[in-house]
Amino acid sequence: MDLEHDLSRLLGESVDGLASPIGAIVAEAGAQGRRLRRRRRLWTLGATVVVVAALATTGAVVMPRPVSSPAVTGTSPAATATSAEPSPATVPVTAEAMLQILAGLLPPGGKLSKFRAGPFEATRDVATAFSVEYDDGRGAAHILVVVSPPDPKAMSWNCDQLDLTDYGTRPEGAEPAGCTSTADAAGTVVSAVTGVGPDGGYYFRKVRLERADGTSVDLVVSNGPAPSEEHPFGLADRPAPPLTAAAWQAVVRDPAWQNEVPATTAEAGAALAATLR
Amino acid sequence: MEQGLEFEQFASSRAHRLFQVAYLMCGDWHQAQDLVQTTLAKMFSVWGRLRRGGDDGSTIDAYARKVLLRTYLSQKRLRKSSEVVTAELPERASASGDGGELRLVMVAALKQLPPRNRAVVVLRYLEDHSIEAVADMLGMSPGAVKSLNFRSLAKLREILGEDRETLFRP
Repeated sequence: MDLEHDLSRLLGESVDGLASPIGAIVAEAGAQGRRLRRRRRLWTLGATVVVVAALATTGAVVMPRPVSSPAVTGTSPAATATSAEPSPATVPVTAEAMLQILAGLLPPGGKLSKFRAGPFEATRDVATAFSVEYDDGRGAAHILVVVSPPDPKAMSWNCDQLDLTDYGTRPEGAEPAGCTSTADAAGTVVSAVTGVGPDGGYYFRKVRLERADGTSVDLVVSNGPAPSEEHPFGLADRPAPPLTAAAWQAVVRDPAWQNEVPATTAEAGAALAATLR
Repeated sequence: MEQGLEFEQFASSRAHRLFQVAYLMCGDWHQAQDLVQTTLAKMFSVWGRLRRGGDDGSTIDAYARKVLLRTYLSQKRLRKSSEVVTAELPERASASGDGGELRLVMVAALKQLPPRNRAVVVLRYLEDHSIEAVADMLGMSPGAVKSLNFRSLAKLREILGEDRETLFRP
């Protein structure tokens, strides 16, 4: 008699009377699932932004060269730290000011379009946020940036909390999911996450900077345009998000990201945003 | 709310079978419970997307197996397994009608296989999945699954030894 022939029966009979705690499993799975969904929403900001309507202007705009704002022209930490100190010429950060800061930190030659000011579904009320599409010549990529002031209610996190299981097949050339986190002597923590790959090969790279005072900067960049009603989970139009993880970490490390910014940055940002809506 | 209720229906109707699969793969009642809870929790968190897929349920069932399998293999990689692989079976089955003893024998035998081999055996012979379906769940080629399956059966024949005649009695 052959084992293969009878193995189905043996395995089936061996678990026939096996008691399973179905009630406890279902209840706990629901509770765990809710926690997981909240955590995933927090971490997949890029994928949860809902595009509610077509934007009036979809034409690409040549990205300006680095702006003349004092907050972004300085390259040395000392110079930029000085420029970020509150003064009579500073105003609370706005989505438009953040756009201006980002535009000044990106390499020349790319194009920005489809600016949207937050707040978004996935961003906290206290945060200031915007989204924009960036095309470096190899396809549009959705970018979301969030600056959050110190918030005692903010969720603490670490890489171990993330579920980085892929749910779909990534495009060829895509990076694997992963998370790294480093802290410097000043207490600034920078984390880089390459997110899960859901349907359609759409995935994101996220960098998060958290300063010792609790201010945080989150930047999420995907490998395709913003999710839409037609493609609620995004649609990849390039193998990987633009630039490198190191380049995006350099962007969020820039001290220009503050809760107070120079008024000139806010003004320039408003003018830039008006051309990208 | 409706989403929650619908998920609960799905989970309630599938949890027992998933538990059986998990138990035979991991050989531990509590770990099986943990595996199924984690699997269903992961499914809950993307339930809206799964339902919007509009399938007849078979795709969701296959997805559940895939998540369970990956969770199990991931845990095996992350944990230094505390299992003690014994050279001999802890108990011998005296009769095929005794599910408890048969369970002990089968779990002890499966525990002597590497995790991926166990998964192949359980999915092939308890769940009756095709080689191709198991290959898809494991992210391997069908040929590699056939090879794992062949080696697993050979090992089980060796492990079960003289118990086979007793076990196979209808």
